[in-house]
Amino acid sequence: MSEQPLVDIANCAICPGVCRFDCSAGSVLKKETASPSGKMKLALMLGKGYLDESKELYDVFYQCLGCRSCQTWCSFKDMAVPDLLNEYKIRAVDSGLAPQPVYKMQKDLERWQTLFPKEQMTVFAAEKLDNPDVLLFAGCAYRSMKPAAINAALELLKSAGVKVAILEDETCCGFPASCWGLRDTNLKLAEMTRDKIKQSGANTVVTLCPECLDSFTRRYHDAGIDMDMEVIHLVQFVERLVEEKKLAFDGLDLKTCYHDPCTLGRKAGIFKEPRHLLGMALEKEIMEAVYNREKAHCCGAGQLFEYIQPEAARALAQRRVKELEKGGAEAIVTACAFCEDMLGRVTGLPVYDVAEILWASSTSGPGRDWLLQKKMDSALARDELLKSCNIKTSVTDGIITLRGQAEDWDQVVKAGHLAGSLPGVYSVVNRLSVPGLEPVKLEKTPAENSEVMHPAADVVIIGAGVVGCGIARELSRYDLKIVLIEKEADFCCGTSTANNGMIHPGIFVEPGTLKARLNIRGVELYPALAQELDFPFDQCGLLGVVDEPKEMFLLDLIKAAADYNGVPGVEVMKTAEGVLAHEPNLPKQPIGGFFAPTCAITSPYKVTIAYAENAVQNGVDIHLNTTVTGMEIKNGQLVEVITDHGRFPTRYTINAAGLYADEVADMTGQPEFTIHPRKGELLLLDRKMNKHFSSCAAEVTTKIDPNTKGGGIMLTVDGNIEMGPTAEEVPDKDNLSCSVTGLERIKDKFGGFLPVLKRDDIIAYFAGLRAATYTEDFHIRPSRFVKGLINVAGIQSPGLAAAPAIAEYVLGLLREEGLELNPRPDFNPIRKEKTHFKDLNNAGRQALIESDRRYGNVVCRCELVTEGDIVEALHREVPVTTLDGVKRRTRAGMGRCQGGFCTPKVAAIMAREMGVGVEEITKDGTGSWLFVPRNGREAI
Amino acid sequence: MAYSIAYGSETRFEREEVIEELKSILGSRVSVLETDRLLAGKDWWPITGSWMVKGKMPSLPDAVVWPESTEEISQILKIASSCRVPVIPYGEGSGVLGGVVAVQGGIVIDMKRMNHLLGIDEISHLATVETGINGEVLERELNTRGYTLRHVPQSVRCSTVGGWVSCRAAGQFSTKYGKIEDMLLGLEAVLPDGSVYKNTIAPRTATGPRLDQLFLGAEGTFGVVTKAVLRIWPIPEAQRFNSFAFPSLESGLAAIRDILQQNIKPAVVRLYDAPETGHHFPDMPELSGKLMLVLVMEGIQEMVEVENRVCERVCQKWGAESCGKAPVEHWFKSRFNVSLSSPLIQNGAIVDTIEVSSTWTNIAAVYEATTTALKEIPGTVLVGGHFSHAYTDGACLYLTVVGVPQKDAEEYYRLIWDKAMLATREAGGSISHHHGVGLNRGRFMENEHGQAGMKVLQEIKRALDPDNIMNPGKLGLGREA
Repeated sequence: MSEQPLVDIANCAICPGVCRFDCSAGSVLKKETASPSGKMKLALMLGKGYLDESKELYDVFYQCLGCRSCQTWCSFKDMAVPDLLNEYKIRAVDSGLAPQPVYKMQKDLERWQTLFPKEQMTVFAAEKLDNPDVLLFAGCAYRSMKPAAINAALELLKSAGVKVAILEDETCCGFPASCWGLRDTNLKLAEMTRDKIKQSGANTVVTLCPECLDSFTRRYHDAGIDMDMEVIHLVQFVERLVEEKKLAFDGLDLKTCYHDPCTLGRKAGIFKEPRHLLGMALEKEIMEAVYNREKAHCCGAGQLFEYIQPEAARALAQRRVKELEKGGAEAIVTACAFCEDMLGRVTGLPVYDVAEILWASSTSGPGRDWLLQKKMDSALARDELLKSCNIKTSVTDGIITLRGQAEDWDQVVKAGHLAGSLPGVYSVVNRLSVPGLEPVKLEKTPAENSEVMHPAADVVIIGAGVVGCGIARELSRYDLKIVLIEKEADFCCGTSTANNGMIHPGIFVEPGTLKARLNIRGVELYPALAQELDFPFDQCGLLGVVDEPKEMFLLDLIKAAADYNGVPGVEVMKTAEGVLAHEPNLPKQPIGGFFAPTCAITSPYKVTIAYAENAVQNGVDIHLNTTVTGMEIKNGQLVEVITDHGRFPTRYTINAAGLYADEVADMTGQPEFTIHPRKGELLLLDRKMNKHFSSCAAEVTTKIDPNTKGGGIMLTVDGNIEMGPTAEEVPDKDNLSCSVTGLERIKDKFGGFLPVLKRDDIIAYFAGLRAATYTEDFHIRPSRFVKGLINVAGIQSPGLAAAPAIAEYVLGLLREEGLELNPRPDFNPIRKEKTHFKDLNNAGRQALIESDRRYGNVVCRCELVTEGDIVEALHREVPVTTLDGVKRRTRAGMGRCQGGFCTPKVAAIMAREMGVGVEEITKDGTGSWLFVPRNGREAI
Repeated sequence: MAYSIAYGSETRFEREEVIEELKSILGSRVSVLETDRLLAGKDWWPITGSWMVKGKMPSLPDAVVWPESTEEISQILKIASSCRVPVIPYGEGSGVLGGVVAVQGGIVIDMKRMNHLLGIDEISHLATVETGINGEVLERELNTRGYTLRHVPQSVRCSTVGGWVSCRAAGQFSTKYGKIEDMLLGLEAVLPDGSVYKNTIAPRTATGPRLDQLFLGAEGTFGVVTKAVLRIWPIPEAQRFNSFAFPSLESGLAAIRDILQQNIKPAVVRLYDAPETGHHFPDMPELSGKLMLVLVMEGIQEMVEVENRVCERVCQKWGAESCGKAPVEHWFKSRFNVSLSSPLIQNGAIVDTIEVSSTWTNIAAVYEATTTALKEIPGTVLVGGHFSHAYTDGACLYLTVVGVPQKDAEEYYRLIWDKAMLATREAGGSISHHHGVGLNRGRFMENEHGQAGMKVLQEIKRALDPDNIMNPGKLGLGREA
């Protein structure tokens, strides 16, 4: 041994050890022998001949991770304990007293010529290039543990026009041998690797692995092996390409924390480049761990410490991960496959190689899809409910598709929501299946007249709910041929009919969403619309009530959200008096609350019918009982909507099919989103309960029950109070069942407002289905896959409130898509509600009876509906053909007895007026017959 | 050629038996390996550094143990008591007086596994720690939560809380934040019979003498301190550096006294004598012959401004030139640099530091007497000093001496200590300000405390540790080095 190392060793041995607090090995092994100066004291004594060789002594010299933290704090220049230990490890190996794993490593390295068995090493198709610009040397760690980063690096370099070669298989650079004192093995591997690299013909070697970099730049030099070529780390090379403007980045939306690999950082001094490049490749500034750069803590993998002290290595990894996770990073990024493997084993976060991020973000890289895929995979892996499921994720242009099997519907929905909540997701197609569960889908009745060719339309609207009818009516202002197709026998049969009729003020809707924007705009449009279309509309306001002092802070949040969303006139009350001034009959003394004056109530089906009737007035062609079965697409353009009642040639198609919108969108051949039905159950109370409230009321609380979504006490325009709704994910699109659990849930959550409520005050209990997408926002966008189709999907609460704004927004989209909107001079915006006997005073009623004596025959006693009212409804421009249709227009059967008295009478009138037998009368279309003929239905 | 052993450990107990008993409690956390034993008996007593280079080690304990709890330590001490085995508590070995040398062999209790910050009382600003925690690690943990201990001895990166308590340590920022005894509100200690002492945690008590303070500076001779409750501070919002060059020792000392006696408390007050000024600020030749005063003011902004103004005024009054913040920044950056000693020691030089204290009345005389005495010893090549800690009533004088022994190194070493200690006593000073006694200062203890004082100390020791198992030979109790 030469003198200088002994002098350095003595300098270190005599020093009190000011670096010891940060020594990786020392801080986990917690022994004097593991501290830097402890090791050096023993090395000095051995070097000077005061101590004999022994196994226990040589064990000490392998308690080093080569992290070089000691160098950061050293009072001496350029001194690091791992360098001083090298000679002693060679002595250890030569003496036969080195730790056992060292000899195993020696055997493996000589047998495999790689660090890991051959079968673990990714083989690349060697690119035969005559004069490659560079050779990418991946290293054993990358080939075995992170091949994705090698591919990313290759793609990245190629995209910058670099002629990059890679060896089919590589040999180990010698790092493990070198740092473990295996001098001869190191020399063999080094020469072999050097020769292989030379044969590639490249003048520059780009390394991914910091250890290979160190081997080629320093260890070989120290061992007297000359590389005689430029050796550079990937980040340095990419930095050069960026400077030469050969690479640019788009910017990924990912909050990452960068971990400095010890050998890349403290040893090679590369701190700046990865940070600079990641800064360009990521939209968000990278986060820094509390200890970073020269002070970064080792991940525990340094110098294969794990082979010697597995538990201590893991403890170091856990410490480092805590530091990296602390600031709330979504991912860890580093530039060493050893670190990635080690950190990845103890963190729940994804660990990326800098090459992966750079390639994904580069202008020709896979970008956001890659990131979404990774985020989804890591979210799934971390989710307690889902990690055991075999879910396959694929991402194309922001659309996440989930395939595979789940154990139950909750898992299906959870996975969909995980995907839908990822930042940057466009939409979610959830194709997860549950064994034994076959969700009910669109019933495609056999096409009777599918070859009938209808006249060409400018716009075909699929779905006559409030959205479809609203769009139809707004489009009818213009000189267009419009067709409205509905699979049911009436308008407003799906989501639009079974909801609470509330025009939400826009307070609780998530700021920044399309829902929020259209909600607020809808509220603005409603008063004038109600005037034009003559439907009931009452701005009764919404009162939020706080009962507990600790919930008072919510009021400020609500006010802030209201201001952000632009909800006018929201008043926050911080005293009981303020609340009671709005609603003096509150059963419990409130302590504060808010009042949103723009909250209103309407009748959802009356709005829809009014829209539809006004649309028809203005020339919209309506086809009820017509189910869409397919699409004709030519040159990427949707040219015909195919139904069970013929083909509708069209220039533009609006998919407003509510719960079935995903199935309609699927007809393009490429799924774009999935609708998952969310059931809401509602209680309808006897009108006598009405006296208790003058506005809608909701409890303001942090106690969130996932099974009731918002909701509260709702007034209705017909004078009944509604309570609810619940929120329950269901697989079937026809599941309108009501349950005792739901009923109890509603009573539990909202019953506090109405302690006087008795069971027999509930006159109806019904359910509706929200047509939600997994992104839980409105999905109102032109189809990604065909021209001429606009999907208006995912319309859940506050869909009714937003409906006028949705129509307005869709018109804007159609205009952008090239539809010319020329106003029709003869458009009539005014639609009048028909005269209802009930709404007249005595003189009016008298006059009506005199003009038509059928108005003198009261059919529905609860709601005071006469034969005249029913006959009128049956003979409107769009004739009513179902009992529910009559009910929606006249309220016959909506009262306290819920049709117990009037149903047969109404059916009889319908049969007479429609000229059919009473057994033909249905509740809501084909199949829902009210009566069974004496001889059975087959007899007909 | 094996190493030789100073003091020679004489094992006077049934070694195998004791080790088996220890293993039954601690399992694999007991070692009799030579490597562990070699290092566990060592601290940073400079003479032992010289020995090591020449192949002499101070002494080897019989075993090293790594307990993880107070309960385990209690069991260890019970075994040790019953077998009369010496026990030496050990932190990270940064002591400079041989305080951990296993002069009679025995068991070294390495405290490194008891290194947890157990809790922070954010209302009372107290931190409870296990005493094996490293100073810098503790400071870092506190910093991430917005607090600081501000105990910054030069050894902060290589010493433990247990070491600070046991040696009555003082840090660089102590003029504002106090020494370890000002920071310590209470402790837990295991007595030689295995019983556990804890004091009531309260800001002050009048319930007889403070028993917790018995362990302050006891250097492990009374028991093993296992936990400490320390006062912590929010990280100061403002920090200001300032420095002044004084024409003479008298003017420099007068200025510090003046500042302190106005009850102004900069965190750092360090006055270097002319040789040290030259040594520490080699880039400022204009300072030649002058004395540099380094000041760091910390705390809330307004306070820092006021303190700085008063210091400027006082220093000008005493004829100092303002040197601004650059010298302080230099000190701040280089304050943990310990690269001086190792090469000197390797080359056969003797290097040591000697810290003493005295009142303002006597401090200049102590300086004169000690530096003169050290310079007179043949072989001395450098003597410098700085006043590292200041009080309203006196200061600490921190001397550095480098010598190249002309004959016997051991004899030269003994001489510098004898001369410096004697000179200090004669000029009216105390023999140690904050390094403690260990082995090296034991022979001066009677001079310091008087016969009656030593009797008190010995009687306390006898009462607590009748079998003299706790770190025997230290504090001047027992065998002399």
